[in-house]
This record gives sequence, structure tokens and C-alpha cells, in this order.
Amino acid sequence: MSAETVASAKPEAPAPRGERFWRMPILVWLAAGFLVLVAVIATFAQVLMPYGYEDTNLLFRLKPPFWSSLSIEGHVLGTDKLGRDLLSRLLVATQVSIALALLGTLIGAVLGTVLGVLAAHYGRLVDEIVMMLVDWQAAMPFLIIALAVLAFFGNNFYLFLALMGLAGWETYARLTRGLVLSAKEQGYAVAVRALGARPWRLYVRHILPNVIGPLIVQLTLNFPQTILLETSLSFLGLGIQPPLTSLGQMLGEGRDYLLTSWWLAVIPGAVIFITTLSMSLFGDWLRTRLDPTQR
Amino acid sequence: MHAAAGFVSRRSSADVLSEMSTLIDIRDLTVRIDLPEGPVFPVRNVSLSLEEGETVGLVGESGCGKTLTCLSVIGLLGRRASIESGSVVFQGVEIDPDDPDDKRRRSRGMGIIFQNPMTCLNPVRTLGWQVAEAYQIRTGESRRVAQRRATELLDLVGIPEPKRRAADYPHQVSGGQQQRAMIAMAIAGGPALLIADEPTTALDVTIQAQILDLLARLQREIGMGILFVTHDLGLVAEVADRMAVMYAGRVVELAPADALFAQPRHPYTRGLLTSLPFLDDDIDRLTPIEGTVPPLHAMPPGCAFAPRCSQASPICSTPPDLRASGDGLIACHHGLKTDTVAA
Ligand SMILES: Nc1ncnc2c1ncn2[C@@H]1O[C@H](COP(=O)(O)OP(=O)(O)OP(=O)(O)O)[C@@H](O)[C@H]1O
Ligand code: SF4
Ligand SMILES: [Mg+2]
Repeated sequence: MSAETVASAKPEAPAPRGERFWRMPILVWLAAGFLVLVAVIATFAQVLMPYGYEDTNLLFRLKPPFWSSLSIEGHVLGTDKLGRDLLSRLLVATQVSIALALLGTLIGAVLGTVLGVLAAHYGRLVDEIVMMLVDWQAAMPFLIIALAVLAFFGNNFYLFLALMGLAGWETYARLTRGLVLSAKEQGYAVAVRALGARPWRLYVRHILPNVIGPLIVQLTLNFPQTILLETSLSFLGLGIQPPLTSLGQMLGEGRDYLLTSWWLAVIPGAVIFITTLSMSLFGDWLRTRLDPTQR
Repeated sequence: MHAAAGFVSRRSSADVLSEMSTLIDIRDLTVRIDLPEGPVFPVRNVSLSLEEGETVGLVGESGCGKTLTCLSVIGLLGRRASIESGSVVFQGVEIDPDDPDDKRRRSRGMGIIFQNPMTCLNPVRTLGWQVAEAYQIRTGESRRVAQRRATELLDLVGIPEPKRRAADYPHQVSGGQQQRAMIAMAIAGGPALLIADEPTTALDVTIQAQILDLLARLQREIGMGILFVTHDLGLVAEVADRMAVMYAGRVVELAPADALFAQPRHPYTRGLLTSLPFLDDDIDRLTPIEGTVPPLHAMPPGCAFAPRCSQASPICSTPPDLRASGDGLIACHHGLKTDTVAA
């Protein structure tokens, strides 16, 4: 029971909620605002979209957005090569990409956290195996693995989702293992063990609430990477398949029209860029908020 | 509310028959720690028992193995430390450390408080939550019952406005209140034995006295046995029924507290007592024990105290066994000479 280490690691008094918590830099405010917008879009895409995202209209193909004199009434962002409303597609694509990234990140977080706890709890062989997998995963370019798997097994939504989940688990595993190993030695964990608590109770009710901060930060840092992975694979035609759409897939489709109808690629590209940037900005801010050494 | 139900010691009649009132019996306990340089044995052949409702003071200099003794009793030795030999008999039944039933029996029947309450409380949970959790783990009661009992326990350990304090986080209350909350956790569910490992060392003097009073009161009201560990002899003098003095991993003197303070028989105990200001108003006679405790990997083959002992003689190069002396036991070849008694 290293009493001294615990004393120095003692967290500061939680900042009084309210004013101090909300004092964010303007850039972080913008990022947070954009993320809220994205969340609203992802939730209500079906309500917000003016047309069905699959509805084709071959009379109005490749029409430009509202700012052009050639734009069509009702198609605010124009139409694509099949005359589908770009705004409607963008809303659904955002929904699909965000949902995939969210699910993928959560799967990775849960998987990594559980493996990290197991490694820390059992030690020895379990620890060795988990850490070997972690090193193995960290050493492999994951995009290449994903490409190989998708090319080999063919595309399928659940396989794709599983790959999203596998993309970042090792960072959580490594982080959790370290956090749990040190938390286990702290006095409060020893005291709870003395009471005869079962391991799951110790981890879930006592240790997890102490280590959740860094894990959440990791989540916000991992999320943009997962979006980028999804969009990269969809862009390459190995991810989300038509008729469903995603931001990466829209980007891929728009690529053929860059010279004539650049907005087809640029608009979804901009959404990807601003979303991941906002998430990173917010995650960085959150990390400095939660990490007492960075204050 | 103080004599709240649930603090009755839980013993089956079979146990009572087999061994009348011995709560815990540590038998010939040796603890081993594996260091890179090889194994060391910081606790060696310690035998110590504690009756129901009794307070035993375990004293000795820093590093003599007091904490390791406690941790082996409650089963919290870390990864590197292990019980090399010996056994712990709790309420008449030997504890098998690998048996889950025994583990449960032990964690229900024993509570422990440590030196530093701040580090032993979970910083992100309220005091009430933690006490309720302790009660729930021990008794398996519902959360609602546990929460109500937590408030009663906080009241029992003398925390004012227990309902409001229950919602406080550890950093929001003083060290004394933290230690009280720790004690509430340790006695939740009514264990028969409380192990207090230097419970007041991290607190300032007035608070020390309050915590000591609290422990004495709890013992009267609940009737649990207390193993009170400290390196401060003056502190236990007021609360202990019997005293065990440890030196370099061994028990060197075991005696009723009155007898030990009136007439210490082991040279080491005498050294400890003469270095205490409160028993000896004549400051000139304050004599700290010369020298230091031998390191674990270089224990002398005979009496470990020999290098510092003024009474040492050639026979002291063989290890002394515990033998009767006065009302207690000492591990010394010479011990109290009759002429020193007369003097
Ligand atoms: N995990 C460990 N690894 C290595 N050595 C240890 C470990 N735990 C205890 N020791 C050593 O064992 C000896 C006895 O330790 P213990 O903590 O029981 O002493 P103590 O009597 O409680 O002392 P204190 O009054 O300082 O608390 C010490 O020399 C200590 O350095
Ligand atoms: S056995 Fe010898 S050295 Fe040890 S305490 Fe007794 S007199 Fe001193
Ligand atoms: Mg100690």
C-alpha cells in the first residue's frame, strides 16, 4: 500500500460546476457547437431531409448548390449524378458515419477496457498475451489489415463494424491496464478487498469511477480516427455499400466529378474535416481539464 | 442508536464449545518476502492470541513486522509476500487462505483501519456511499438498508450531522473525520475483530486522543476484540489489556499491560519505556536505544537485539525462546535480573 504515491495522486477538489467548467476558449465553444449540430443531424436526419436520399431524378442530374444561377428550387445543395438531393444524402451520410464511428469507438473502448482490466487483474500469462496482442496491433498498419480482411471476406455491415471496433482497442487496453494496476495498490482498493468484495465489484464500482476520466478523453481522441477509418474505407469502395451512403462514400463518388461538380466531393469532405477537427479540439480541451498536471 | 443491532459477534455455538473465548490465535507465523536478492523473513515465528472483547497492543520500532503480521491475519499480503509457515485460527477454526468460504468468514469477521485515512477512502465516492458499500459487502443487505445503516454508523463513530456528512467527499472533511469514516467502514456489519494499524499516526495529537477514546467506547459498546498496532507505547498504555512487543520480526515480550508498564522484563521493552517522556518526568533519564535494527538480510543468528543490548553475553548468540517471566513471556536469555527488580 503505497501511501505516499496515493497522497500525491490525490485529485483536486472537483471544480465547482457552473462558471468555471463553462469557461472554454472560443474555439472550443465553436467545436462543441458544431458537434452538437452534428449530433442533432445524426439523430434527426430522417426528419430533416427534404427528399428521400435514394430518390433519383434523372432530369435534374449534377445540379449545383444554391449559390449558382443554375441551381434548382428545392435542392439547396444541388444533386448528384443520379439527380439525388445532395442535402438529404449528406444528412443520412452524416448519420451513418457518426453512428458507425460511435459504435466502433464504443466497441473498441469496451473491448480494450475489459482486456486491460483482465490483464491487470490476472497478470502473468493473461497479461503477457494481452500485451502481446496490443503490441501486435500497434505495430500493424490497421488500414491495410482492414483492406485485406474486407477484400478477402467480402463486405458485410457487421464485419465492417467489427473492424471499426478493432481499430483502436489497444490504446484503451494499454491505458486501462496501467491505470488499474496503480489503482489496485491504492489504499481504498486494499480497504475494499479487505471487506471481501469480489473482483468485479472492486473494478466496476470502485476503481472504474476513478479511472474513467482518462478513458473518456481517450474516447474523444479516438473518435476522429474511427471516422477517418470509416471514410477512408468507404472512399475506397470497401466500406458502406450503395444504396446506403456515408460521408466517405459520398467523397468517393464525388471524386469523379471534381473538375465539373466539385461540391459533390468538397461538401462531404468539409463535413468530415470539421467534425474530426472539432472532436480533436474538444478532446484536447477535455484532457487539459481532467488532467491536473496540465492545468 | 449506539448499541445498534448487528454488532453482536457472529459465532456459531460449535465454535464457542471448541474454544471458549479465543477470538484469534496466530500460531508460529512466519512471513516471507521474495526480493531480487533472495527471500527475507520480516515476521518470524510470531505467536499471539486475542480474546473476545480484548484489546492487545502490538508495539515495536518501524519495520519490525507489525503491519505484515496484521496483513497476514486479514489475508492482504501483496504479491511478493506470503505466509511461509504457521497458521491463523479465527474463532476456533483455522483459516485456509485458499478456501473461498474461509475468505468470506475472515472478511466478515475482521475489519482493518490503516494509518492514512485519506488514501484509504475512495476520492470519487461520498463517505455515506462508502460506508454503505462496506455494510452491503459484509452483510449482503439491500442498498436501502445499507444506506440507512451507514448514517447510523457515521453517528456511532461520532461524526456530527451524519446525514449531511454522508453526502460529503473525503477531501471535504478533516483527517480526523476521515479516520472516523474509515472506522465506520471497518466496523460496518459488526466484525468480531478490529485491526487498527497505527490508526492515529497521521493525525495531530488532540485528534489522536479522540480516536483513541472512540475505539475504547466502540469496544465497550460492541464488544469486539481490537489488535492495536503502534510504535507509540504511550498511546496504547491507556487502551490495551495486554501488550505484545515485537523486535526485528519476533515477539520478544508478551504481558498484561499493567505488568509490562510497571515492570518491563525484556531489555528491548525497557529500552522502549525509558525512551518515553510521559512515564519518566526526569528528562535526564530519557535514553533512546543505541544503534539500529539489523537489516532483514543480515539478521544475527542469535538474539536479534544482541548488537544493541547492554546485557548481551556469549549465550545470546543462540536464539532465545519465549519463556515465562513474571505474568508474561519474554524471549531473552537473561531478562529481568532479580537485583534490577530490587533496585
Ligand atoms: N512488499 C514488501 N516488499 C519488500 N519489503 C517489505 C514489503 N513489505 C514490508 N517489507 C519489509 O518488511 C519489514 C516489516 O515491514 P512492516 O511494514 O510489517 O513493518 P512495521 O512494523 O509495520 O513498520 P512501521 O512502523 O514502519 O509501519 C520492513 O523492513 C519492510 O521494509
Ligand atoms: S537474549 Fe541476550 S541480547 Fe537478547 S535481549 Fe536478552 S540479554 Fe539482550
Ligand atoms: Mg506498519
